[in-house]
Amino acid sequence: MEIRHTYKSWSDDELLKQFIATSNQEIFGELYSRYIPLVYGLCLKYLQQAEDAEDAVMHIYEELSKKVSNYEIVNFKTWLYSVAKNHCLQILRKGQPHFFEEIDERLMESENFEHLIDGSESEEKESALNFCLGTLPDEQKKCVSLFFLEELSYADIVEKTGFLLSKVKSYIQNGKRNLKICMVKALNS
Amino acid sequence: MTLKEYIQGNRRGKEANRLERQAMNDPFLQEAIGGYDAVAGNHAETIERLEDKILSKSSVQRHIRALVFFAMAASILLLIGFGTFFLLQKGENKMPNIAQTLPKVNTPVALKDTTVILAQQLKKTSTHEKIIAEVTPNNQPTLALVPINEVAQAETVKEVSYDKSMNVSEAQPVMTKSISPRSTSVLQGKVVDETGQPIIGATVMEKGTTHGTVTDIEGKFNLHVNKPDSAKLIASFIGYDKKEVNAVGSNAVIAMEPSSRTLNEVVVVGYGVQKRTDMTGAVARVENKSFGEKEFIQLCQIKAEKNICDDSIASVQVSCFVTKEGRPSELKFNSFTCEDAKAEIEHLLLSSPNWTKTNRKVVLEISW
Repeated sequence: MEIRHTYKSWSDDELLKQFIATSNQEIFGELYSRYIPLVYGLCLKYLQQAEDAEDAVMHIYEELSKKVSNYEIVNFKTWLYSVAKNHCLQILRKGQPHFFEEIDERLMESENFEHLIDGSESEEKESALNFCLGTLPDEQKKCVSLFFLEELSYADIVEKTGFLLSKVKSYIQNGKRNLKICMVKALNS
Repeated sequence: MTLKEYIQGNRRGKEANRLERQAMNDPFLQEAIGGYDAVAGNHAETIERLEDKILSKSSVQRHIRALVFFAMAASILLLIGFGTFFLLQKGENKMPNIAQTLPKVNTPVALKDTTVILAQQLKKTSTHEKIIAEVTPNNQPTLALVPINEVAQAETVKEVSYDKSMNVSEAQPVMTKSISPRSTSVLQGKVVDETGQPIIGATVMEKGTTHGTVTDIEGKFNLHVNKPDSAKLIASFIGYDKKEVNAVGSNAVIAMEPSSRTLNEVVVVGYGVQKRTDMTGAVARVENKSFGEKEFIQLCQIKAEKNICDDSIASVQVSCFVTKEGRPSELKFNSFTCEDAKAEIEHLLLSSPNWTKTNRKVVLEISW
Protein backbone atom coordinates (compact mmCIF):
# COMPACT_ATOMS: atom_id res chain seq x y z
CA MET A 1 0.00 0.00 0.00
CA GLU A 2 2.85 2.35 0.77
CA ILE A 3 4.31 1.91 -2.66
CA ARG A 4 0.98 2.62 -4.27
CA HIS A 5 0.76 5.92 -2.48
CA THR A 6 4.13 7.04 -3.77
CA TYR A 7 3.13 6.23 -7.34
CA LYS A 8 -0.02 8.29 -7.02
CA SER A 9 1.92 11.51 -7.47
CA TRP A 10 3.80 10.33 -10.53
CA SER A 11 2.89 11.46 -14.04
CA ASP A 12 1.82 9.02 -16.73
CA ASP A 13 5.14 9.39 -18.48
CA GLU A 14 7.13 8.68 -15.35
CA LEU A 15 5.05 5.60 -14.58
CA LEU A 16 5.38 4.31 -18.11
CA LYS A 17 9.14 4.77 -18.17
CA GLN A 18 9.47 3.13 -14.79
CA PHE A 19 7.32 0.22 -15.88
CA ILE A 20 9.32 -0.35 -19.06
CA ALA A 21 12.52 -0.20 -17.04
CA THR A 22 11.43 -2.54 -14.24
CA SER A 23 8.41 -4.46 -15.65
CA ASN A 24 6.85 -4.04 -12.25
CA GLN A 25 3.19 -4.89 -12.83
CA GLU A 26 2.16 -2.79 -9.91
CA ILE A 27 3.27 0.34 -11.69
CA PHE A 28 1.32 -0.48 -14.80
CA GLY A 29 -1.67 -1.34 -12.63
CA GLU A 30 -1.54 2.14 -11.17
CA LEU A 31 -1.20 3.75 -14.59
CA TYR A 32 -4.02 1.74 -16.12
CA SER A 33 -6.37 2.18 -13.22
CA ARG A 34 -6.23 5.93 -13.79
CA TYR A 35 -7.94 5.38 -17.11
CA ILE A 36 -10.46 2.76 -16.08
CA PRO A 37 -13.38 5.23 -16.04
CA LEU A 38 -12.52 6.36 -19.55
CA VAL A 39 -11.86 2.92 -20.94
CA TYR A 40 -14.95 1.44 -19.34
CA GLY A 41 -17.15 4.25 -20.68
CA LEU A 42 -15.68 3.81 -24.14
CA CYS A 43 -16.30 0.07 -24.06
CA LEU A 44 -19.85 0.68 -22.87
CA LYS A 45 -20.43 2.94 -25.82
CA TYR A 46 -19.27 0.39 -28.35
CA LEU A 47 -20.36 -2.86 -26.75
CA GLN A 48 -23.61 -1.64 -25.16
CA GLN A 49 -23.39 -4.33 -22.47
CA ALA A 50 -22.02 -3.75 -18.99
CA GLU A 51 -20.61 -7.31 -18.73
CA ASP A 52 -18.92 -7.19 -22.12
CA ALA A 53 -17.43 -3.81 -21.33
CA GLU A 54 -16.11 -5.09 -18.02
CA ASP A 55 -14.48 -8.07 -19.72
CA ALA A 56 -13.01 -5.78 -22.34
CA VAL A 57 -11.44 -3.56 -19.69
CA MET A 58 -9.72 -6.59 -18.18
CA HIS A 59 -8.66 -7.94 -21.57
CA ILE A 60 -7.15 -4.66 -22.60
CA TYR A 61 -5.23 -4.57 -19.34
CA GLU A 62 -3.85 -8.07 -19.82
CA GLU A 63 -2.86 -7.36 -23.38
CA LEU A 64 -1.22 -4.05 -22.65
CA SER A 65 0.74 -5.20 -19.63
CA LYS A 66 2.46 -7.70 -21.90
CA LYS A 67 2.85 -5.55 -24.97
CA VAL A 68 3.34 -2.04 -23.75
CA SER A 69 7.12 -2.20 -23.73
CA ASN A 70 7.15 -3.09 -27.44
CA TYR A 71 5.73 0.24 -28.45
CA GLU A 72 7.10 3.70 -28.51
CA ILE A 73 4.42 5.64 -26.77
CA VAL A 74 4.48 9.39 -26.95
CA ASN A 75 1.19 10.11 -25.27
CA PHE A 76 -0.18 7.27 -23.18
CA LYS A 77 -3.73 8.58 -23.15
CA THR A 78 -3.99 8.95 -26.93
CA TRP A 79 -2.42 5.58 -27.41
CA LEU A 80 -4.71 3.92 -24.90
CA TYR A 81 -7.68 5.53 -26.62
CA SER A 82 -6.75 4.04 -29.98
CA VAL A 83 -5.94 0.63 -28.52
CA ALA A 84 -9.16 0.46 -26.51
CA LYS A 85 -11.27 1.64 -29.39
CA ASN A 86 -9.73 -0.85 -31.76
CA HIS A 87 -10.19 -3.62 -29.24
CA CYS A 88 -13.92 -2.84 -29.10
CA LEU A 89 -14.19 -2.54 -32.86
CA GLN A 90 -12.48 -5.88 -33.27
CA ILE A 91 -14.98 -7.49 -30.94
CA LEU A 92 -17.79 -5.99 -32.96
CA ARG A 93 -16.28 -7.04 -36.26
CA LYS A 94 -15.49 -10.59 -35.27
CA GLY A 95 -15.15 -12.64 -38.41
CA GLN A 96 -14.42 -9.65 -40.54
CA PRO A 97 -10.87 -8.77 -41.35
CA HIS A 98 -9.34 -6.59 -38.73
CA PHE A 99 -8.04 -3.21 -39.50
CA PHE A 100 -6.44 -0.76 -37.22
CA GLU A 101 -7.95 2.67 -37.02
CA GLU A 102 -5.31 5.27 -36.46
CA ILE A 103 -6.33 8.01 -34.16
CA ASP A 104 -5.19 11.37 -35.36
CA GLU A 105 -3.12 13.00 -32.64
CA ARG A 106 -4.50 16.36 -33.62
CA LEU A 107 -7.98 15.29 -32.60
CA MET A 108 -6.82 15.29 -29.04
CA GLU A 109 -5.27 18.69 -29.14
CA SER A 110 -7.50 21.31 -27.72
CA GLU A 111 -9.08 23.37 -30.43
CA ASN A 112 -8.75 27.05 -30.43
CA PHE A 113 -12.48 27.53 -30.15
CA GLU A 114 -12.40 28.53 -26.51
CA HIS A 115 -9.80 31.08 -27.40
CA LEU A 116 -11.90 32.27 -30.31
CA ILE A 117 -14.97 33.04 -28.28
CA ASP A 118 -13.08 34.74 -25.48
CA GLY A 119 -14.64 38.18 -26.03
CA SER A 120 -12.69 39.88 -23.29
CA GLU A 121 -9.54 39.75 -25.37
CA SER A 122 -10.34 42.56 -27.76
CA GLU A 123 -13.22 44.78 -28.73
CA GLU A 124 -13.07 43.51 -32.23
CA LYS A 125 -13.61 39.99 -31.01
CA GLU A 126 -16.40 40.95 -28.69
CA SER A 127 -18.36 42.70 -31.40
CA ALA A 128 -17.79 39.80 -33.78
CA LEU A 129 -19.02 37.40 -31.12
CA ASN A 130 -22.15 39.45 -30.47
CA PHE A 131 -22.82 39.73 -34.16
CA CYS A 132 -22.37 36.03 -34.82
CA LEU A 133 -24.49 34.95 -31.86
CA GLY A 134 -27.22 37.04 -33.42
CA THR A 135 -27.03 35.08 -36.63
CA LEU A 136 -27.63 31.71 -34.88
CA PRO A 137 -31.11 30.18 -34.60
CA ASP A 138 -32.70 30.93 -31.24
CA GLU A 139 -32.25 27.47 -29.61
CA GLN A 140 -28.63 27.27 -30.65
CA LYS A 141 -27.97 30.81 -29.45
CA LYS A 142 -29.52 30.10 -26.07
CA CYS A 143 -27.70 26.83 -25.46
CA VAL A 144 -24.33 28.03 -26.72
CA SER A 145 -24.32 31.13 -24.55
CA LEU A 146 -25.45 29.18 -21.49
CA PHE A 147 -22.81 26.54 -22.06
CA PHE A 148 -19.83 28.60 -23.11
CA LEU A 149 -20.44 32.00 -21.56
CA GLU A 150 -22.38 31.22 -18.38
CA GLU A 151 -20.64 27.88 -17.92
CA LEU A 152 -23.69 25.80 -17.13
CA SER A 153 -23.55 22.05 -17.44
CA TYR A 154 -25.80 20.06 -19.78
CA ALA A 155 -27.99 19.10 -16.86
CA ASP A 156 -28.29 22.74 -15.80
CA ILE A 157 -29.32 23.76 -19.30
CA VAL A 158 -31.89 20.99 -19.53
CA GLU A 159 -33.46 22.27 -16.36
CA LYS A 160 -33.34 25.88 -17.39
CA THR A 161 -34.63 25.54 -20.92
CA GLY A 162 -36.79 22.44 -20.67
CA PHE A 163 -35.19 20.96 -23.81
CA LEU A 164 -34.28 17.27 -23.90
CA LEU A 165 -30.67 16.44 -23.09
CA SER A 166 -30.06 15.09 -26.58
CA LYS A 167 -31.50 18.28 -28.08
CA VAL A 168 -29.31 20.42 -25.83
CA LYS A 169 -26.23 18.53 -26.94
CA SER A 170 -27.02 18.87 -30.61
CA TYR A 171 -27.90 22.58 -30.29
CA ILE A 172 -24.55 23.19 -28.64
CA GLN A 173 -22.69 21.10 -31.19
CA ASN A 174 -24.27 22.79 -34.19
CA GLY A 175 -24.25 26.21 -32.61
CA LYS A 176 -20.57 25.88 -31.87
CA ARG A 177 -19.78 24.89 -35.45
CA ASN A 178 -21.84 27.76 -36.96
CA LEU A 179 -20.37 30.24 -34.51
CA LYS A 180 -16.85 29.19 -35.38
CA ILE A 181 -17.41 29.57 -39.12
CA CYS A 182 -18.99 32.97 -38.62
CA MET A 183 -16.28 34.21 -36.25
CA VAL A 184 -13.42 33.19 -38.54
CA LYS A 185 -15.14 34.93 -41.43
CA ALA A 186 -15.89 38.10 -39.45
CA LEU A 187 -12.40 38.42 -37.99
CA ASN A 188 -10.62 37.87 -41.28
CA SER A 189 -12.66 40.30 -43.33
CA MET B 1 -14.17 17.19 -11.31
CA THR B 2 -13.35 13.69 -12.37
CA LEU B 3 -15.28 11.56 -14.80
CA LYS B 4 -16.10 9.21 -11.95
CA GLU B 5 -17.85 11.96 -10.01
CA TYR B 6 -19.61 13.12 -13.13
CA ILE B 7 -21.19 9.77 -13.89
CA GLN B 8 -22.24 9.38 -10.31
CA GLY B 9 -24.82 12.04 -11.10
CA ASN B 10 -22.84 15.06 -10.07
CA ARG B 11 -23.66 17.01 -13.19
CA ARG B 12 -24.42 20.48 -12.05
CA GLY B 13 -22.42 23.65 -11.96
CA LYS B 14 -19.27 25.02 -13.48
CA GLU B 15 -17.21 21.94 -12.70
CA ALA B 16 -19.57 19.77 -14.74
CA ASN B 17 -19.51 22.36 -17.47
CA ARG B 18 -15.72 22.28 -17.48
CA LEU B 19 -15.72 18.53 -17.97
CA GLU B 20 -18.29 18.76 -20.71
CA ARG B 21 -16.28 21.41 -22.51
CA GLN B 22 -13.15 19.35 -22.11
CA ALA B 23 -14.96 16.46 -23.73
CA MET B 24 -15.51 18.53 -26.84
CA ASN B 25 -11.78 18.55 -27.45
CA ASP B 26 -11.13 15.06 -26.18
CA PRO B 27 -12.84 12.32 -28.14
CA PHE B 28 -11.80 9.73 -25.57
CA LEU B 29 -13.68 11.55 -22.84
CA GLN B 30 -16.53 12.33 -25.19
CA GLU B 31 -17.03 8.71 -26.14
CA ALA B 32 -16.72 7.55 -22.56
CA ILE B 33 -19.44 9.95 -21.42
CA GLY B 34 -21.51 8.82 -24.39
CA GLY B 35 -21.09 5.24 -23.25
CA TYR B 36 -22.20 5.95 -19.69
CA ASP B 37 -25.22 7.85 -20.98
CA ALA B 38 -26.17 5.13 -23.44
CA VAL B 39 -26.15 2.18 -21.04
CA ALA B 40 -28.04 2.22 -17.78
CA GLY B 41 -26.51 0.69 -14.69
CA ASN B 42 -24.48 1.42 -11.61
CA HIS B 43 -21.32 2.34 -13.42
CA ALA B 44 -19.47 3.85 -10.49
CA GLU B 45 -19.69 0.55 -8.66
CA THR B 46 -18.39 -1.37 -11.65
CA ILE B 47 -15.52 1.04 -12.06
CA GLU B 48 -14.52 0.61 -8.47
CA ARG B 49 -14.69 -3.14 -8.80
CA LEU B 50 -12.49 -2.99 -11.89
CA GLU B 51 -9.99 -0.73 -10.18
CA ASP B 52 -9.73 -3.12 -7.27
CA LYS B 53 -9.28 -6.05 -9.63
CA ILE B 54 -6.50 -4.39 -11.59
CA LEU B 55 -4.65 -3.11 -8.56
CA SER B 56 -4.86 -6.36 -6.65
CA LYS B 57 -4.01 -8.35 -9.73
CA SER B 58 -0.86 -6.35 -10.35
CA SER B 59 0.35 -6.73 -6.79
CA VAL B 60 -0.60 -10.42 -6.69
CA GLN B 61 1.50 -10.97 -9.75
CA ARG B 62 4.42 -9.54 -7.86
CA HIS B 63 3.81 -11.88 -4.97
CA ILE B 64 3.52 -14.84 -7.29
CA ARG B 65 6.83 -13.90 -8.83
CA ALA B 66 8.45 -13.76 -5.41
CA LEU B 67 6.94 -17.15 -4.58
CA VAL B 68 8.18 -18.71 -7.80
CA PHE B 69 11.63 -17.34 -7.12
CA PHE B 70 11.62 -18.77 -3.62
CA ALA B 71 10.47 -22.16 -4.88
CA MET B 72 13.20 -22.23 -7.49
CA ALA B 73 15.86 -21.35 -4.97
CA ALA B 74 14.60 -24.02 -2.60
CA SER B 75 14.60 -26.75 -5.24
CA ILE B 76 18.10 -25.87 -6.39
CA LEU B 77 19.31 -26.12 -2.80
CA LEU B 78 17.58 -29.46 -2.42
CA LEU B 79 19.14 -30.74 -5.63
CA ILE B 80 22.59 -29.72 -4.52
CA GLY B 81 21.99 -31.35 -1.16
CA PHE B 82 20.89 -34.67 -2.61
CA GLY B 83 23.60 -34.55 -5.23
CA THR B 84 26.33 -34.16 -2.65
CA PHE B 85 24.81 -36.89 -0.53
CA PHE B 86 24.79 -39.42 -3.34
CA LEU B 87 28.23 -38.40 -4.49
CA LEU B 88 29.64 -39.05 -1.06
CA GLN B 89 27.87 -42.39 -0.86
CA LYS B 90 29.26 -43.45 -4.21
CA GLY B 91 32.74 -42.41 -3.19
CA GLU B 92 32.57 -44.70 -0.18
CA ASN B 93 31.41 -47.64 -2.26
CA LYS B 94 34.45 -47.39 -4.48
CA MET B 95 36.94 -47.76 -1.70
CA PRO B 96 37.21 -51.52 -1.45
CA ASN B 97 37.86 -51.76 -5.20
CA ILE B 98 40.77 -49.46 -5.04
CA ALA B 99 42.19 -51.03 -2.02
CA GLN B 100 42.46 -54.23 -4.04
CA THR B 101 44.02 -52.69 -7.10
CA LEU B 102 46.54 -50.52 -5.39
CA PRO B 103 49.09 -53.06 -4.25
CA LYS B 104 49.10 -54.77 -7.63
CA VAL B 105 49.77 -51.61 -9.54
CA ASN B 106 52.46 -50.45 -7.25
CA THR B 107 54.50 -53.52 -6.63
CA PRO B 108 57.01 -52.83 -9.38
CA VAL B 109 57.53 -49.32 -8.17
CA ALA B 110 58.11 -50.47 -4.67
CA LEU B 111 60.98 -52.58 -5.83
CA LYS B 112 62.95 -49.62 -7.03
CA ASP B 113 65.90 -48.45 -4.99
CA THR B 114 64.11 -45.65 -3.23
CA THR B 115 61.39 -46.34 -0.83
CA VAL B 116 57.82 -46.24 -1.84
CA ILE B 117 55.18 -45.95 0.67
CA LEU B 118 51.76 -47.07 -0.13
CA ALA B 119 49.13 -45.44 1.81
CA GLN B 120 46.11 -47.47 2.23
CA GLN B 121 43.05 -47.00 4.18
CA LEU B 122 42.30 -49.75 6.57
CA LYS B 123 38.95 -48.75 7.83
CA LYS B 124 38.67 -51.28 10.55
CA THR B 125 41.72 -50.08 12.44
CA SER B 126 40.03 -46.73 12.77
CA THR B 127 43.18 -44.66 12.75
CA HIS B 128 44.01 -41.93 10.32
CA GLU B 129 47.70 -42.57 10.16
CA LYS B 130 48.84 -45.73 8.56
CA ILE B 131 52.19 -47.21 8.41
CA ILE B 132 53.23 -49.05 5.37
CA ALA B 133 56.86 -48.84 4.80
CA GLU B 134 59.20 -50.84 2.76
CA VAL B 135 62.77 -49.87 3.20
CA THR B 136 65.77 -50.78 1.14
CA PRO B 137 68.10 -53.27 2.76
CA ASN B 138 71.27 -51.30 3.50
CA ASN B 139 69.53 -48.70 5.61
CA GLN B 140 68.13 -49.05 8.99
CA PRO B 141 64.45 -49.73 8.76
CA THR B 142 62.48 -46.59 9.00
CA LEU B 143 58.84 -46.10 9.41
CA ALA B 144 57.07 -43.46 7.48
CA LEU B 145 54.07 -41.85 8.89
CA VAL B 146 51.90 -40.41 6.25
CA PRO B 147 48.92 -38.39 7.21
CA ILE B 148 46.14 -39.29 4.92
CA ASN B 149 43.36 -37.11 3.77
CA GLU B 150 40.20 -39.12 3.85
CA VAL B 151 38.99 -38.23 0.38
CA ALA B 152 42.37 -38.47 -1.21
CA GLN B 153 42.72 -41.96 0.18
CA ALA B 154 40.00 -43.26 -1.96
CA GLU B 155 41.63 -42.57 -5.26
CA THR B 156 45.25 -41.69 -4.85
CA VAL B 157 48.39 -43.49 -4.12
CA LYS B 158 51.11 -41.49 -2.65
CA GLU B 159 54.62 -42.21 -3.67
CA VAL B 160 56.88 -40.83 -1.08
CA SER B 161 60.58 -40.67 -1.20
CA TYR B 162 62.62 -39.29 1.58
CA ASP B 163 66.15 -38.60 2.50
CA LYS B 164 67.69 -41.31 4.54
CA SER B 165 68.83 -39.00 7.28
CA MET B 166 65.63 -37.12 7.38
CA ASN B 167 63.19 -37.41 10.12
CA VAL B 168 60.56 -39.80 9.05
CA SER B 169 57.66 -37.57 9.82
CA GLU B 170 59.02 -34.85 7.58
CA ALA B 171 58.86 -36.98 4.52
CA GLN B 172 57.58 -34.95 1.59
CA PRO B 173 55.36 -36.39 -1.06
CA VAL B 174 57.12 -36.00 -4.39
CA MET B 175 54.47 -37.10 -6.79
CA THR B 176 50.83 -37.84 -6.59
CA LYS B 177 49.49 -40.28 -9.08
CA SER B 178 45.83 -40.70 -9.80
CA ILE B 179 44.49 -44.01 -10.80
CA SER B 180 40.99 -44.14 -12.14
CA PRO B 181 38.96 -46.95 -10.64
CA ARG B 182 37.81 -48.16 -14.07
CA SER B 183 41.33 -48.68 -15.26
CA THR B 184 41.39 -49.43 -19.02
CA SER B 185 44.10 -49.03 -21.59
CA VAL B 186 43.97 -46.56 -24.37
CA LEU B 187 44.64 -47.74 -27.87
CA GLN B 188 45.69 -45.20 -30.43
CA GLY B 189 45.45 -45.70 -34.12
CA LYS B 190 44.57 -44.34 -37.48
CA VAL B 191 42.01 -45.24 -40.10
CA VAL B 192 42.95 -44.74 -43.74
CA ASP B 193 41.35 -45.50 -47.07
CA GLU B 194 42.81 -47.66 -49.83
CA THR B 195 45.10 -44.82 -50.98
CA GLY B 196 46.39 -44.10 -47.51
CA GLN B 197 44.31 -40.93 -47.04
CA PRO B 198 42.87 -40.57 -43.54
CA ILE B 199 39.17 -41.25 -43.13
CA ILE B 200 37.48 -38.64 -41.02
CA GLY B 201 34.54 -39.67 -38.90
CA ALA B 202 34.97 -43.44 -39.21
CA THR B 203 33.55 -45.43 -36.32
CA VAL B 204 35.94 -47.63 -34.34
CA MET B 205 34.52 -50.12 -31.82
CA GLU B 206 36.00 -52.70 -29.53
CA LYS B 207 34.41 -55.98 -30.48
CA GLY B 208 31.95 -57.38 -28.00
CA THR B 209 31.71 -54.18 -25.99
CA THR B 210 30.04 -50.85 -26.25
CA HIS B 211 33.36 -49.01 -26.32
CA GLY B 212 33.55 -46.91 -29.42
CA THR B 213 34.87 -43.72 -30.85
CA VAL B 214 35.07 -41.71 -34.05
CA THR B 215 38.19 -40.73 -35.93
CA ASP B 216 39.27 -37.11 -35.92
CA ILE B 217 40.25 -34.84 -38.78
CA GLU B 218 43.51 -36.72 -39.29
CA GLY B 219 41.81 -40.10 -39.17
CA LYS B 220 43.23 -40.77 -35.71
CA PHE B 221 41.41 -42.22 -32.77
CA ASN B 222 41.90 -42.98 -29.08
CA LEU B 223 39.89 -45.87 -27.75
CA HIS B 224 39.61 -47.16 -24.21
CA VAL B 225 39.59 -50.95 -24.23
CA ASN B 226 39.16 -53.52 -21.50
CA LYS B 227 41.64 -56.07 -22.75
CA PRO B 228 44.43 -54.29 -24.60
CA ASP B 229 46.17 -57.54 -25.53
CA SER B 230 43.31 -59.48 -26.97
CA ALA B 231 40.94 -56.74 -28.07
CA LYS B 232 39.50 -56.82 -31.55
CA LEU B 233 38.72 -53.54 -33.20
CA ILE B 234 36.03 -53.03 -35.76
CA ALA B 235 36.24 -49.98 -38.00
CA SER B 236 33.38 -48.94 -40.22
CA PHE B 237 32.59 -46.08 -42.53
CA ILE B 238 29.92 -45.50 -45.11
CA GLY B 239 30.95 -46.79 -48.51
CA TYR B 240 33.59 -49.10 -47.03
CA ASP B 241 33.50 -52.68 -45.83
CA LYS B 242 33.67 -53.24 -42.11
CA LYS B 243 37.18 -54.09 -41.09
CA GLU B 244 38.08 -56.21 -38.10
CA VAL B 245 41.64 -56.18 -36.79
CA ASN B 246 43.45 -57.47 -33.73
CA ALA B 247 44.69 -54.68 -31.58
CA VAL B 248 48.39 -55.32 -31.55
CA GLY B 249 50.71 -52.60 -30.46
CA SER B 250 49.52 -49.15 -29.66
CA ASN B 251 49.58 -47.53 -33.08
CA ALA B 252 47.31 -49.55 -35.28
CA VAL B 253 46.71 -48.39 -38.83
CA ILE B 254 43.48 -49.72 -40.17
CA ALA B 255 43.20 -49.63 -43.93
CA MET B 256 39.66 -49.72 -45.20
CA GLU B 257 38.60 -51.26 -48.50
CA PRO B 258 35.85 -49.61 -50.52
CA SER B 259 32.68 -51.61 -50.42
CA SER B 260 31.99 -53.57 -53.56
CA ARG B 261 28.30 -53.04 -52.99
CA THR B 262 28.39 -49.31 -53.62
CA LEU B 263 25.17 -47.47 -53.67
CA ASN B 264 23.69 -46.55 -56.95
CA GLU B 265 23.76 -42.86 -57.58
CA VAL B 266 20.57 -41.33 -56.38
CA VAL B 267 18.92 -38.86 -58.67
CA VAL B 268 15.99 -36.85 -57.41
CA VAL B 269 13.79 -35.58 -60.18
CA GLY B 270 11.18 -32.93 -59.75
CA TYR B 271 8.56 -32.02 -62.28
CA GLY B 272 5.80 -29.51 -62.30
CA VAL B 273 4.91 -26.51 -60.27
CA GLN B 274 3.98 -26.50 -56.63
CA LYS B 275 2.76 -23.75 -54.40
CA ARG B 276 5.43 -22.62 -51.99
CA THR B 277 3.05 -23.10 -49.08
CA ASP B 278 2.48 -26.75 -49.96
CA MET B 279 6.17 -27.55 -50.07
CA THR B 280 7.82 -29.30 -47.20
CA GLY B 281 10.96 -30.69 -48.81
CA ALA B 282 14.01 -28.94 -50.10
CA VAL B 283 14.10 -28.04 -53.76
CA ALA B 284 17.08 -26.65 -55.49
CA ARG B 285 17.42 -25.69 -59.08
CA VAL B 286 20.52 -27.45 -60.25
CA GLU B 287 22.43 -25.82 -63.01
CA ASN B 288 25.03 -28.03 -64.43
CA LYS B 289 27.18 -25.43 -66.10
CA SER B 290 30.76 -25.88 -66.90
CA PHE B 291 33.24 -23.27 -65.80
CA GLY B 292 36.51 -22.75 -67.57
CA GLU B 293 38.68 -20.17 -69.28
CA LYS B 294 35.93 -18.90 -71.58
CA GLU B 295 33.46 -18.47 -68.74
CA PHE B 296 36.01 -16.80 -66.53
CA ILE B 297 36.91 -14.25 -69.18
CA GLN B 298 33.21 -13.51 -69.65
CA LEU B 299 32.83 -13.15 -65.90
CA CYS B 300 35.70 -10.69 -65.81
CA GLN B 301 34.23 -8.58 -68.56
CA ILE B 302 30.99 -8.28 -66.60
CA LYS B 303 32.32 -7.97 -63.10
CA ALA B 304 35.73 -6.36 -63.28
CA GLU B 305 35.81 -2.69 -62.48
CA LYS B 306 35.89 -0.60 -65.63
CA ASN B 307 38.62 1.95 -66.37
CA ILE B 308 40.60 0.59 -63.50
CA CYS B 309 43.87 1.83 -65.04
CA ASP B 310 43.22 5.46 -65.95
CA ASP B 311 40.70 5.12 -68.78
CA SER B 312 42.86 2.81 -70.83
CA ILE B 313 42.01 -0.82 -71.46
CA ALA B 314 43.29 -2.98 -68.66
CA SER B 315 44.83 -6.29 -69.51
CA VAL B 316 46.27 -8.98 -67.36
CA GLN B 317 48.09 -12.17 -68.21
CA VAL B 318 47.97 -14.76 -65.52
CA SER B 319 48.72 -18.43 -65.21
CA CYS B 320 47.49 -20.67 -62.47
CA PHE B 321 46.94 -24.24 -61.49
CA VAL B 322 43.42 -25.60 -61.05
CA THR B 323 43.43 -27.98 -58.11
CA LYS B 324 41.64 -31.29 -57.80
CA GLU B 325 38.78 -29.44 -56.12
CA GLY B 326 38.47 -26.98 -58.98
CA ARG B 327 40.07 -24.05 -57.21
CA PRO B 328 42.61 -21.82 -58.94
CA SER B 329 45.89 -21.74 -57.07
CA GLU B 330 49.53 -20.74 -57.49
CA LEU B 331 48.64 -17.59 -59.41
CA LYS B 332 51.47 -16.18 -61.50
CA PHE B 333 50.97 -12.80 -63.07
CA ASN B 334 53.11 -12.56 -66.17
CA SER B 335 52.04 -9.05 -67.10
CA PHE B 336 49.47 -6.49 -66.06
CA THR B 337 48.76 -2.89 -66.98
CA CYS B 338 48.41 -1.69 -63.42
CA GLU B 339 48.49 -2.96 -59.89
CA ASP B 340 44.73 -2.46 -59.39
CA ALA B 341 43.92 -4.59 -62.41
CA LYS B 342 46.10 -7.36 -61.06
CA ALA B 343 44.36 -7.20 -57.70
CA GLU B 344 40.95 -7.23 -59.35
CA ILE B 345 41.70 -10.35 -61.39
CA GLU B 346 43.25 -12.06 -58.40
CA HIS B 347 40.11 -11.37 -56.42
CA LEU B 348 37.83 -12.63 -59.21
CA LEU B 349 39.88 -15.76 -59.71
CA LEU B 350 39.82 -16.66 -56.04
CA SER B 351 36.10 -15.98 -55.74
CA SER B 352 35.15 -17.70 -59.01
CA PRO B 353 32.91 -20.77 -59.07
CA ASN B 354 34.63 -24.15 -59.04
CA TRP B 355 36.27 -24.93 -62.31
CA THR B 356 34.90 -28.01 -64.01
CA LYS B 357 38.10 -29.22 -65.68
CA THR B 358 40.50 -29.78 -62.85
CA ASN B 359 44.08 -30.75 -62.13
CA ARG B 360 45.66 -28.71 -64.90
CA LYS B 361 47.53 -25.57 -65.64
CA VAL B 362 45.67 -22.61 -67.11
CA VAL B 363 46.98 -19.51 -68.86
CA LEU B 364 44.60 -16.59 -69.13
CA GLU B 365 44.76 -13.33 -70.97
CA ILE B 366 42.06 -10.94 -69.92
CA SER B 367 41.45 -7.43 -71.13
CA TRP B 368 38.49 -5.23 -70.32
